[in-house]
Amino acid sequence: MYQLTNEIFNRYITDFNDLILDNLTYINTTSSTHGSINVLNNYVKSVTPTKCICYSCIELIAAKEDRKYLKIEFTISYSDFYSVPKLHFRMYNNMDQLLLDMDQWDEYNELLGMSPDNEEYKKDYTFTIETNELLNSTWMSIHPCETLEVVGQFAETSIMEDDKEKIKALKYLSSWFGTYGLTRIFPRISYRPTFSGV
Amino acid sequence: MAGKGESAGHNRVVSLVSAASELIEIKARLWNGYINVRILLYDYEDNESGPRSENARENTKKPKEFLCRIYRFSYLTLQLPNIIQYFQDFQPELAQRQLWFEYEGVPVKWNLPVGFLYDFLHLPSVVGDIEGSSGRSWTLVLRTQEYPSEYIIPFIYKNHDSAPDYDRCLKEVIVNQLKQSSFVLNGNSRSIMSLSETNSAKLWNSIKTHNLPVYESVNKKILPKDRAQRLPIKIYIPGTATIIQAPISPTKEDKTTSLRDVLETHLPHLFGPKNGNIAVPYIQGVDAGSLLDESLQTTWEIFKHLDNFLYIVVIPKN
Repeated sequence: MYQLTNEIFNRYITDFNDLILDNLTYINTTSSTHGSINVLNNYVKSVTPTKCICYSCIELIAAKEDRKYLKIEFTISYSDFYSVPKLHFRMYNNMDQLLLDMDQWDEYNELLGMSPDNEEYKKDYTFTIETNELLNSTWMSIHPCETLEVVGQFAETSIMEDDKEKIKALKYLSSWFGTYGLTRIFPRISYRPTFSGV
Repeated sequence: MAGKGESAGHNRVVSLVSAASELIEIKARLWNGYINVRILLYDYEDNESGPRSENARENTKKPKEFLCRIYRFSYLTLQLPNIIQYFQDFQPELAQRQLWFEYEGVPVKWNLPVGFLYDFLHLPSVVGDIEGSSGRSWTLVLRTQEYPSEYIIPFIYKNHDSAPDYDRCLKEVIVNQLKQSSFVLNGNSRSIMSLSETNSAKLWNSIKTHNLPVYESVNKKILPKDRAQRLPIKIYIPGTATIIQAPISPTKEDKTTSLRDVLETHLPHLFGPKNGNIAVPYIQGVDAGSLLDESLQTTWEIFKHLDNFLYIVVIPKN
């Protein structure tokens, strides 16, 4: 099974960040809120001699008259404890109020692509509110205790033996982002990369 | 009369028994270790537009204070019922508010063990002042407004009366920490995930009531049956953003990993033959310099916190 290490993560996180920027889109359907996604800030930086973090700040804006607005910050880092990438995220409303309680998300169900009654969603997703140790601040995350096994299985079907190291890493990170990343948490956000130009 | 071999065997057994009883005594002493904490509540906390600055604080009326002993192997939120009960006479609304602690202007992270918080936040100011520090308490300010959610985890669960459910929030944090340490130790989190409801309740109650035998009897089910795959270690340097979260293999190329190996690998600028040791590692408030060449596995077994992490605070020498 393919194993992503901290060194490989550090080597290719900038390339993966470029892939995200090129392929992150907002899914509009005919029957629902039309919206858009804008990237407000994005960078990759070293926070310690051995740890890199990829930071992004995006905004979701509903095109209809209600003009619902959300700002989502997310980071991607490598968890040495779990040996997998880890996503931290947090949302703010248009008053810049931090929405760490899922009950506060209810009024944004349509914009985020959740069902009008997102009780099922809340049951399926147990987000952890924790300190992002690399940034020393409060963020939400999906607990990664099953990530290694699940993403390993998904990545196995896409990674070819003769793929170059960079392609292997990007395919693994893409599988992870689709399974435990932003697109999984917020159904209206899509990430469908192609590796032909990489 | 015993033969030479028998005598040597007997001595070995005596020394093993003596080492084991020493270990039990050390563990019991660590478990019962506590910190004297002085908690201050200022009057302005009851006033929406009250003064916030340090100067303003000095000018306000003398704060109310609550003195307590908190075990190193515990969490600040477990003290909140007593603190609320005491201060409620002065501020009746206290129970409904999201309470937090501040140390010298810094919000204190309630999700971390008290012993570690003391070592990380307060110990650097008292190191080298051993005589002066003996008997001195750790002073924290109880804050009732402007909860700093960006910096410390908010209490999102509420009781029926809308008061914060501190226990549920802490329990969730501890379970998540245990899942993490269990993953490092066992290669997966199954042991904690498959803990029965009864055992989960026993574990939580043992943490709440500070009951070592019950805690150990359940924690044994989470820990590896034989050898740990990797050891969950966290290294902090006070006054910096440096946090090293390192899963460490107990052995490397058939050699037992020591604390020195870990520090030289992760903090070569502070430890190592090149620079000499220009910092001191503290574990559970103890100068761990004498443990540098001991097996890390043994150090972890003795000094690990309730969440099964070994917290090391590295304080650079002046």
